[in-house]
Amino acid sequence: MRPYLTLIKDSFRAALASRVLYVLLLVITLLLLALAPLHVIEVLDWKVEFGKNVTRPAKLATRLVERGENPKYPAAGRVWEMLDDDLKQDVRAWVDSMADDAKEPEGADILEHMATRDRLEDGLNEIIKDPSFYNEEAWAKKRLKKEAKEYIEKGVGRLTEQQSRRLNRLLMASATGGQIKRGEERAQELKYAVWSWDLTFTASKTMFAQTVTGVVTRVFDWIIWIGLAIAILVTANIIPETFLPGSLNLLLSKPISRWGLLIAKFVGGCAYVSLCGIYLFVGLWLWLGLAMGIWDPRILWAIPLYIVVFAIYYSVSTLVGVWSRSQILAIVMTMLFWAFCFAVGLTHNVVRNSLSNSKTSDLVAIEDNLLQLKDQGGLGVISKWNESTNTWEEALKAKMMGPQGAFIDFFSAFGDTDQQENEADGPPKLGPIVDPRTKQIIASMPDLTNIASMEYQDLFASNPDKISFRQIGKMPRGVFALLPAKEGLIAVDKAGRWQRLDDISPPAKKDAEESTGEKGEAKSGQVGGLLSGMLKKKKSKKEPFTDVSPKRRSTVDRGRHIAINQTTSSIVVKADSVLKRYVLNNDGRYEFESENDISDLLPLGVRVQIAAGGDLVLAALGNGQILSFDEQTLEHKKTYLPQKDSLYRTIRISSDGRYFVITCYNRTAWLLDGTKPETIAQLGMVSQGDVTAINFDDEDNLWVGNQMNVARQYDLETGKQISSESPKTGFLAKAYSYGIRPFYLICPKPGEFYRVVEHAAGSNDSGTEDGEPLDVNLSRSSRYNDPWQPLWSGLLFMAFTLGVACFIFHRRDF
Amino acid sequence: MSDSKTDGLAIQADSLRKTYTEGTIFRKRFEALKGISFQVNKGEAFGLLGPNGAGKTTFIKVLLGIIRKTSGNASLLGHPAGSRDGRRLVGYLPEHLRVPPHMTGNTALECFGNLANIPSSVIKEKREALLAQVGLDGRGNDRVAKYSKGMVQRLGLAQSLLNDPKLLILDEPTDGLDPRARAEVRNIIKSLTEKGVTIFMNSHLLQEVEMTCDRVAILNQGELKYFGSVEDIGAFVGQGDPNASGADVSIDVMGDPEAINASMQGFKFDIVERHDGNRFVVKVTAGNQDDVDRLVDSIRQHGVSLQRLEKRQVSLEDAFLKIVKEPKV
Repeated sequence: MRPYLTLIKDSFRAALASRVLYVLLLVITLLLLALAPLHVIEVLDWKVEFGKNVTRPAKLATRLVERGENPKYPAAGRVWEMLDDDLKQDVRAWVDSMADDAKEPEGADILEHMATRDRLEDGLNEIIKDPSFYNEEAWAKKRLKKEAKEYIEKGVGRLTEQQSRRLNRLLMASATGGQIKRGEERAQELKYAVWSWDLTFTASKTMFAQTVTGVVTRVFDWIIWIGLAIAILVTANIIPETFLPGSLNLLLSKPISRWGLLIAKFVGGCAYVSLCGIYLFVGLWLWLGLAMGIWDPRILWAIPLYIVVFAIYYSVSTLVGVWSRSQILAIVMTMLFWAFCFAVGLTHNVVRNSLSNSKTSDLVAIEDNLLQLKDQGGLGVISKWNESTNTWEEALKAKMMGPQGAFIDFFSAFGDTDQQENEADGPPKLGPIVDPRTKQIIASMPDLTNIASMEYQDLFASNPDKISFRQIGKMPRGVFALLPAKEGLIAVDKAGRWQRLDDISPPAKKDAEESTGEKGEAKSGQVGGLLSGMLKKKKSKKEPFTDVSPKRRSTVDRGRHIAINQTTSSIVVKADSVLKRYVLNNDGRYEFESENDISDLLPLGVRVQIAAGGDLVLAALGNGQILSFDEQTLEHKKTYLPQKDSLYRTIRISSDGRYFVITCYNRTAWLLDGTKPETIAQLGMVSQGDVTAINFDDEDNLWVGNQMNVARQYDLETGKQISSESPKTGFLAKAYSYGIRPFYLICPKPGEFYRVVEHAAGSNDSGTEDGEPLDVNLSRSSRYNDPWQPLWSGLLFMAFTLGVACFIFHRRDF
Repeated sequence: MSDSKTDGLAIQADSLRKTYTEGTIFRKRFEALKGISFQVNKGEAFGLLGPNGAGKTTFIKVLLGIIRKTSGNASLLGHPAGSRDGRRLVGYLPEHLRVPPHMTGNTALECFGNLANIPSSVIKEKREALLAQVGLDGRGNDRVAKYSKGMVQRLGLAQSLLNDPKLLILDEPTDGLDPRARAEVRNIIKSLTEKGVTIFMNSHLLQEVEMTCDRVAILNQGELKYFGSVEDIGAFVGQGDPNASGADVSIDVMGDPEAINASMQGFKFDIVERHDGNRFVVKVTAGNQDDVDRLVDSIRQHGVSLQRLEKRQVSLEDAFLKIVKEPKV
């Protein structure tokens, strides 16, 4: 070993003798010094921020106006009385201008109302800062939370400034009936030296740490690339210099093997980057620990990974150096290889996203028809399966102006739909869904030809035996979810209204004429039509929906926070950290039945998706856990931890409430059989790992769709595949499957190593199997199906390249 | 490879051939060694001579495994040429040695010694003496970048001696050295030979080889033209050449021209010059010492006065030039 270690040691000597190394180390030092003053301190969460802890400012304003001068609400009155008179007047004017159900203002007053909104936010924060805000009488009848009680018991006058503000925030949350969220007790505030940014993070420390680590690895990714480019330039001469006759003949005359010599020289060359990488990341780790309080040894993962990234490029430089013995050629070819890797990665991602954007995102199977929902550039396209031609035929899509579709397709190719986790992006995809009452297939689509009508989606219905969608009216504004109740589909909107679809007959002739008139106006003069549409308050003329909302509405803004049990028609809602159950009363309306505070089971800020069926309610958490609750009492029954790699995407339940099938962003599907609730197991099927859509048909067989738009039907009782519908693949899909993807898989992906770092630094295996809550956020790791893939393909490529270089070196005469 | 025949041999080459191939599409072949066969005994100082492109460096590279032979056999101290066991026993000073400029004399010795698997502790013990031996005492801590060409050559010689080699292969060892340094190198070689180290030297400086080596081999265009002792090269050069003068004797004789003519009967002679009437300078061809003795007897018998006799030796340079048939080396 001594001779080979000597070569590595000599490379270190060469590195130390090189001035470039000192320059790199100096740059890193300056970076770390610039970063050093950035630190975080833990503060109490007190500030009111509209859009963050007040989701509906208009509603808050309405509540303040309504209750501010009503003696029945002394706490709200206390808030109102402390507001400035001018502000109160403006808030009243704002509320008056709004619709009765707290809709946002429109038209020319919009700017004025926005200013009022901002002033109200400032006004509330000023009140919070006032230590005299608390008035015992005003909150005498209020049930305050434990945290607030503790502060009051301690004595308002003895609280620190932070504690006083926190108490006032809690009091304000209580006074406004939850319109201002309580927020988390602790928050993290960023500071640079003594300067404070107005930036607070109300996440747990672990999640905050993960966020910071993720951001830091992304930012430093760029710095590392620059460092790598310099390192490639600096080290490119090591191998060609070895081949200078005076050096090589002496080396080869020594009793050492040639491949050992080359590998030792290669490893020695990596010493440059190792030195810089170790310095940078250890410095970073120390900064994260000392300044941020994040002592996460996983950040050190970046050291070996970035050395591997360099080693991949350096192996190319070595191969070219051995082959050509030219330093210039080694640099040029390495840079070309860099560009090549980038081009391969980009081509793969663009083509994959193009295909992915037309992947099956939902399936509906009823009678002999199979419908598919594709997610195309954020818009839904519904197609039906034509068995005779083996193709998906377009059945319904959003109305668009000619070039719009092309633009959407083009730009959507550059976005990764697998990473789109925010359900608020784009118009919500409502349907296709089978209305259990009428057995009609219901769907809605936006009309993109008329901006004025965009906030109302067109509502369509089709017979299940012969697919042909007809417009039956407009979907109410703000609807983000459709729940399949036996009594009829329920549309859920952001205002907390639940409206049942009772009438699916086509619109009346008069309405149709009006509708045609509006469209004609838009067509004949686009600009005039748009302006008039913006200024004119529009309303759906036809009202096929009946309000079945409970008296005490529960507002949610995510489809994953509300679920219906098709067996019992009860609706379960997750509002804040509370599960609420609503049942139908004799009047045909929903009413509150029971609730259960599950905050003890939910890690701070974790993503939750709920589903209800049979006698179970499931809550799939963003840390990999799945919690089951009794459907009646909402009592916690069991905690599962089937996987810890990816976020859950959808939960579908068979109509009898027996099977719960859960899909993840990593395209796996998991099954909970209600008759065997001990475990949740991965479904054994061909599509596993490529599941993009699941749904049950009317016979409770499972349909599974994949990226290539193949739909397979499974019998969950036997676990066997019943049928498969495979469309003819287009040229792009073939090119991707048989050319681009295999090539991409074997091609190194140094540009994607941040995935490995993010995964290594972000995923957490510290979860316990006995159901203890995991303070983990899978939202990062869920983005990538195989986060370690860049590492394996990189190492394989490096091994191959070095193998070829060793072979050439071994066989060649010098 | 080691058997009774090769036990006493440091180097053995048997029908050694090396053909270079160049170009990927239009392949060109060049035969650098055309079946070379000779042996170098252990403990002798051996010189390998030849003009540029004769195949000298190729031969050394084949011995050390830097390039592969095309056919034939070669061995180093009983080990196949190029084998690691053979290389372990060899010290090598390449032509145009290049030492990385970031090294100092000491670190260079440590590096090259370690490459020969010599522990650093041993190197540290030896290096001062070695540097002093090659005339670099006190310069061990200087960066090689500051060394002159001659100093680098000395450092190369020092590193070749680190492993106490049984065979020292020197490729142009005195290249770049001043006359005094050359003399020092000669002395080092002489002392190593006395210690039983075999020296295999490749040099353009024929005088150096003549002064240092016992035997030589001369290569020309990949072929072995001469292999034998330096002393015998003159006789070799004369063999089979009707115009060759063999061992020439130059004499100054005085006497009657007819008597002089008679005394030269049986010898090939040529009157080169006539001085002062009866005094002549004659060049006579005498194959060996017996012929010279017979010539002297004949001159005396014919009453001719022998005033001067000079036996003229064939120099290595003369022989080399004759062998390679080139006007200049």
